[in-house]
Amino acid sequence: MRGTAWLGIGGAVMGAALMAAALVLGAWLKGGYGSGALAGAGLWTFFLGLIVLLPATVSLARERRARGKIESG
Amino acid sequence: MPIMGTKGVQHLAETATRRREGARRIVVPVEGMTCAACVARVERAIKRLPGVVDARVNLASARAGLELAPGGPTLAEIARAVEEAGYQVPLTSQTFRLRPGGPSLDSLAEKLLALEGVAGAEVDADACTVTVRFLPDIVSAARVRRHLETMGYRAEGGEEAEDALERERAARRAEVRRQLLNLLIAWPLGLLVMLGTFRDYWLLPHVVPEFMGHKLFLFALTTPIVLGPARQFFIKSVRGLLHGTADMNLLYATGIGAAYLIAVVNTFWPEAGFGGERATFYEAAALLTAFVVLGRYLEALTRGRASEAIRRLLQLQPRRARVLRDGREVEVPADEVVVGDICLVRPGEAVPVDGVVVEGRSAVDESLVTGESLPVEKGPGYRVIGGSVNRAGSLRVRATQVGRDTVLAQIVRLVEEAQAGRAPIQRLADWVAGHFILGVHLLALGVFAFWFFAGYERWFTPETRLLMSPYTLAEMGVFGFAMLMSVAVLVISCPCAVGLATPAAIMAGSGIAARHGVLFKGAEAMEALARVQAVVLDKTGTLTRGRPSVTDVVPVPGRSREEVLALAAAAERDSEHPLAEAVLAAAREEGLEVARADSFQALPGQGVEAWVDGRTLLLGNRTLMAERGIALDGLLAEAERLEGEGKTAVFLAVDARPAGLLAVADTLKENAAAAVAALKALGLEVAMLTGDNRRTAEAIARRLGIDQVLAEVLPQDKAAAVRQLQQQGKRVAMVGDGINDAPALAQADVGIAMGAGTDIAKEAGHVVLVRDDPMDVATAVETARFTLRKVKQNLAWAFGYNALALPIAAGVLYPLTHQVVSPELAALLMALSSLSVSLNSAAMNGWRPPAKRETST
Repeated sequence: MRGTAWLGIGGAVMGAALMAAALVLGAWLKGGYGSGALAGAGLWTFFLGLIVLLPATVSLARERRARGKIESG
Repeated sequence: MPIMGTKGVQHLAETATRRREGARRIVVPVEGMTCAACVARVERAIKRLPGVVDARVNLASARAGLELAPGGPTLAEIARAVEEAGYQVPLTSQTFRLRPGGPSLDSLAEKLLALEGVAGAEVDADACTVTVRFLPDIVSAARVRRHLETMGYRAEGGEEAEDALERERAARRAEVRRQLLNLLIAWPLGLLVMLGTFRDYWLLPHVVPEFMGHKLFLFALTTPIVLGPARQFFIKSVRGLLHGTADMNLLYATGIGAAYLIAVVNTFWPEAGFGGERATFYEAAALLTAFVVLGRYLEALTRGRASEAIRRLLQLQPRRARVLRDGREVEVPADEVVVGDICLVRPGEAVPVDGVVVEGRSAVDESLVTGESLPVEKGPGYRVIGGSVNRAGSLRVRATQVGRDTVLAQIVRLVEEAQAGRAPIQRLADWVAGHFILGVHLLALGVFAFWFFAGYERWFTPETRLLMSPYTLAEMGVFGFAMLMSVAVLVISCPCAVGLATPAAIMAGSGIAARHGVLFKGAEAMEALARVQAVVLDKTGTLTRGRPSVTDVVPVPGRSREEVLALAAAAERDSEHPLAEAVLAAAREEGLEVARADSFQALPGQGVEAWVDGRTLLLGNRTLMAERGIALDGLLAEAERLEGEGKTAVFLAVDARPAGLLAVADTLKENAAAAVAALKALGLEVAMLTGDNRRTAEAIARRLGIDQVLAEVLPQDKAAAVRQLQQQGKRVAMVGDGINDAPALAQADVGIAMGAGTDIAKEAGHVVLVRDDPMDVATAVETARFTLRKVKQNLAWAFGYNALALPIAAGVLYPLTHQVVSPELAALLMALSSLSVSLNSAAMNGWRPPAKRETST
């Protein structure tokens, strides 16, 4: 798809996954949560994290690509 | 607190400077924007292009106003940047057949790109065709065809594209219809879901059948809502996310999707730990959709109405014209009329382009451009404006300005630019809205983490209820509860009305102003004018007619007024002095017969001497009379009185004996005193600026009710006089002639150019008054103030609900009340803010500037 910065999307997915993992780990260490609640919290955090990170990572990737184009061309 | 301070002024000055340096301005329509975040995104995408000086995107008009440096990006590059940001520039594609025998097709595509508004061209040499992609807002198919012809090709085809505005109107109508259909699906189903959900409460068990409360039934009712009316939010947000952007649609999609998915999980797998059987928020998903769709419907209605001003103006431009070609009368599209064509305009028809009457007399209604309701008499030599309506006789008009150069096209362009621009007050709103999605999701994440880790354990009680509903959440698990809180935050924070608050009011305001002959060059000008404290009026041409005329005729005993005027006119008949014009005009106005002089001599600095019918006439000042030894005893007292009123006295002697005197003065405009009074009533300080001597200036100021006079100011010092007032800490508007007073107009916080006539776009000043009526200054101030008031009200409505409800949604009051804001209540509040903004902006259209109301009665 033209204009899609897959590198940025990949970066956001990784970042959101890390956020979700940190939250689930924190909850697991605290204890007292069922597996469903942990799974739900992980998914929800991943989703919100993705939304928070996507705009930044995609525009970073775009700028890098644009810079690369200018330098090479 | 004044927002438009020095910075705003500086911005106006900078903008003016850039324009002078040859920056090009274009307005490009952008499709697919739904909120202020989209506006910020499109702006960022365009501004990233090298050579873009400024880009302002307006949500309500769905247009981007661009200022491009020479050699800036092409339309194709702009369209690509907008597309990459996830939106579209609606380009039209047309194919033209090229008849053989023309020049080579080799570099045709590049040559076509030089035409403004063309984004691309593809030449098919085998088929002898060229397919051109262009923006109908800027260039028409006829214009492209003409361009091909000027390059030597004989082009055919290229259907006239549907009028750009009509197309937009149709698209808006389709959007209104689409959202109405969504409403008709979402509301009945949503209400059924609500009845089913709440059947165990209130008195509903007696009325609502039991099966309606069943989770599967609610699932069956909600699913079509999520897959139907709510689908738009999912599609748009996924599309946005793939472009790396998050907009309001994502907020809705998150809210609706989360509520629906949890409800589905808890319906089919209640043990999954997502809140259990009680946490089936089908009604949240259904009603959230219903309210958001209601907001969208209202927005679609508001946008349609806001662009009415331009549509109404453009509708006035006739589509066809009857012109004389090779001595025959032919009907052609108005677009194809060229300068020099003779157009035939019958009674009741509109003049197709700007021109000069070459034959015929008629009364022409120019109210569309000037706001003046009385038709104006036109005859040979008079200018007529394209779009004005010929009321009585037939006219032949020679076209002087066509296409984008006509007055109407210039007005439309100015209104468009004003509407595409953004008032400084909106910048804060846009900044907030542009960063909102990120902020809201971060906040939602924080709220979720807080209630998941600490809040639930500490404060959750089985008595927990949804606000304004008896629906208890006793069995709600930690995840379900924390998520409910974060979804409510997401939905309630959505400032969907913010994106429309300012542009909707500015669009309506500039439309109202244009209807009354007041054109704002940008939204900044409107805001700046609303905030001015002092108005400086240039005397000549603003308060006075700028042409001397005879005000008094005083005969000596034994001679009549008419006789004195007729003799004076005869003496001046061959003179080229400005006073001569005034005397001759006065004689003509009174229907007097002016004799031809046998001989005439101009006496520089003194007057004239002429011999008429054997009599010697002397017309001139005191010096002339004294030199010739003519005693003025009986006239001197009268002359001094008239001079005290700021008039110039001219004496007439016949055969060396005094015959009378004429007083010549630049007469005040009809509405001048009323305009000054109206400006004072608006609480403005009014000053008059003139090059006249203080005595004359003060005499005129007294008649007008002006207290502050800046007299004996040379034209080159006018800007300094304005600066002096500004140094006293006042925000000053300067009203003057757009060309002569340009430096002073530029120096003022707001420059108002009056009586622009036919050269609107070239006028200096931030505000252009089409008519020559000083009352329009008051109209401009009133309209600007009214619009700014509406903007502030709209912003208060748009932000108010969110600001008040956000802490409640985040659960600040929960430890005390044990009540949670339900997502549907959050959506209701959101829809209310859209409704308030829409109604408040729509109500503007019925408003009429008070100055106009008074003058029309």
